Amino acid sequence: MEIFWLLPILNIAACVLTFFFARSLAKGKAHLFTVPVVGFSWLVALFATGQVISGHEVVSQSVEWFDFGAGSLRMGVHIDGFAVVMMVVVTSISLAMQVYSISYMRGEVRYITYFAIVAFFTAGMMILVTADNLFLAIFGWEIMGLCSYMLIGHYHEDIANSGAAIKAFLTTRTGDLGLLIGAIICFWMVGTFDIEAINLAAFEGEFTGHMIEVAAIALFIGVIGKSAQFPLHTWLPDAMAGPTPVSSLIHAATMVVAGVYLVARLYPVFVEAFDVAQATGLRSVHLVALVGAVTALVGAFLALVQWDLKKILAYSTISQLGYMIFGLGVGAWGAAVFHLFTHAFFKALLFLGSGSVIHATHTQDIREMGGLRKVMPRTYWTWIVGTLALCGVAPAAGFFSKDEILAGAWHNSYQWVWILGVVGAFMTAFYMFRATHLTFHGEYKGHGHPHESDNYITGVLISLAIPSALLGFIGLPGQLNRFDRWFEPEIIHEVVEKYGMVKEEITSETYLLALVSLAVVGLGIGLATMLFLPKWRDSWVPGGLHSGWTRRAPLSYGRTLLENKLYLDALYGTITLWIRDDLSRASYWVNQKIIDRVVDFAGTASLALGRGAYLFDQEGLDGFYDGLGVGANRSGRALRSIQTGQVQQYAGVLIVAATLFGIFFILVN
Amino acid sequence: MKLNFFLVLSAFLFSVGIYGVLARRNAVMLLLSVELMLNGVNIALVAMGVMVGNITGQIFALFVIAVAAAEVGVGLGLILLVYRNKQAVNVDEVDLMKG
Repeated sequence: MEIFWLLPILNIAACVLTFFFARSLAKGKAHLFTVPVVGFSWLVALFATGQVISGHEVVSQSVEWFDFGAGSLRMGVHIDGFAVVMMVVVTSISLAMQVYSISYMRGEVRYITYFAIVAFFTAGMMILVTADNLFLAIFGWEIMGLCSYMLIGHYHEDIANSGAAIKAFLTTRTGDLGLLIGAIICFWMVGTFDIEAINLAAFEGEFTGHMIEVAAIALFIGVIGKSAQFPLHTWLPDAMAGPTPVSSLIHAATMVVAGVYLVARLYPVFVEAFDVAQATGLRSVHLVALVGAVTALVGAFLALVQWDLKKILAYSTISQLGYMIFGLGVGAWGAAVFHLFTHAFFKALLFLGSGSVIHATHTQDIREMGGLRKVMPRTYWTWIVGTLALCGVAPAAGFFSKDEILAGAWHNSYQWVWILGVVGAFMTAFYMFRATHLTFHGEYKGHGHPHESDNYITGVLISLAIPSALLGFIGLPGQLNRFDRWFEPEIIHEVVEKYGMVKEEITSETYLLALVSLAVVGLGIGLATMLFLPKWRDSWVPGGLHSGWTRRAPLSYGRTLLENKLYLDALYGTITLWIRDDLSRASYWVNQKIIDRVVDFAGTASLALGRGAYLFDQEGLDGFYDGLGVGANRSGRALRSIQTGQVQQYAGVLIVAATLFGIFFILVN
Repeated sequence: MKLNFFLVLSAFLFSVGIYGVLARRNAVMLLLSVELMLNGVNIALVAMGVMVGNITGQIFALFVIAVAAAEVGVGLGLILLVYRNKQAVNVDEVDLMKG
């Protein structure tokens, strides 16, 4: 663990080497530089995980960076269980994604630059998760933002892609402003950027006045931007313009969870500021839980209506990030971080799987896919594992992590959040199986002959499918939970103890909650299968999807469920119609009767005023300004003679003047 | 006592620099003289800093050196362009700004 500080530097070195020497030394095989480095980092991270599990001390080492009078800034690493977990996520996904890219990006433009930026990105994320102070963390945070921008715009020949890159950059920058302000407030209050010190100060209530609320809100704005929370989530779907492996690394597994990481890392600040534990007894709706829950639901709803495979996954990522954020918001720290951990694996798996599909079919539109199960068996089965994990079907990883968040919400008396979360789980199951059925089942509807991807791609998919399926078992509920015991930092433990945030025991309630969410997920999967599995769909919806089945009288068993769907459409339709007809009629009336009158009056009044002003202008002001002009002209002509254009005369005047000033001040003092 | 030696050296360098800036005609020499002035100031800063006993003076001197390097880069670039356009390095031949 002591050599952790070396890993970001190694990755940056790999980036530089790749950039300058890959062409000459490795004949353009840029991955020869970056893959070994990230592989080494991965091994170190795994080794460190072993050490943390066996009870290794927290490693904290730092050197002075620079001294700015009022204090000094240190640069160092703080490696506790949480940092190690994040390192495992970063290095695993980065390694998988880079190996995958060897095949996926072969023959693409800017192959070398691509690998260099990916290595740089990996270094940035490592800096963020190991940083011991906020300043260094922001440093890593910004490196990621830059790399994200460059990679989204990888195919910048298409103007839409560079537009998406700019949008992503600017949106996250909007949030970053908040982050910067928050960090500065923390520095102001605590006198250091050191994260541990800030946490301790927040925990012991050393923030004066309402500064902790201000700091937390500012920091949270940064989180909203980076982690694509409502209402700044709009950049993430557009960011899908980048190559698919980039989406899997940056826009699913690592960079977008940076915000979640920040909240989890500065958890005492957020707990104290937003009263997560409801310690004052007020059932206040607080910001973190609210934003997270709304995002979880909005993301899921938006994923429902997408036809673009990657966009479905993007909205799904937004939704899952919402789960993590509200998990932190309701006080379920361990569950939220555990969900971050498992989500990274199964969502990266899904993205890479979608990349494999897109590679084979040359389209992202799921209406032009179908029947790929037979031609791409490995992609199909790994996709199924990822989907089950994302939906939260036991015993895949997502079941344990998501359910723990929901259980945390229930136990900490956030029932409204729990309801939103369960609805989100239903939607998740529905949209994922909709995508699965349309992509992999039925008949192929696209062009050409898709075929299974090569061993690089399928190998990566399989090696990500294994953790996606099995990782859940380290986060079993109650006393069986190893994840919290291994990786929860000291300060978080103290916060949880202080406010008595419930560490649930396994009771009958645990099973009940799990059963409820399993039932809901089953319902979602069943409904999606009924509506979208081609074999079955025809019996429920004759004529198929494109014949306007939602408008027909629903058939037999699927009736209620279809009605639900209809209800949604009707709701959307009503809103749209209302906006189109009633609202426009109302606004027409307002326009004619009120605004017009006001405008007329304003017109008449300003005409009268204008006449008066004209007179004043002509007679009064013109004379004055003419006088000014003439004056300026004359004085200019007079001063012109001292502008000789001779540099040395100017220098002479300067020196004489400075000397005179010097003498003057000496005499005055 | 020793401080005075440094301050005298500093003042001397600064004066030589001023003389150069005011009297030399060659633009390159002008730049060199400016460097002399800056280094005179640097010596004063470092000496004072050591006397007071903190490192602020040294940090400041480092900043001055960095800025001076940048300034020389820009200055030489300007001189080069002026020479290309007017075939002159003497500053009194360059009076485009004459009013």
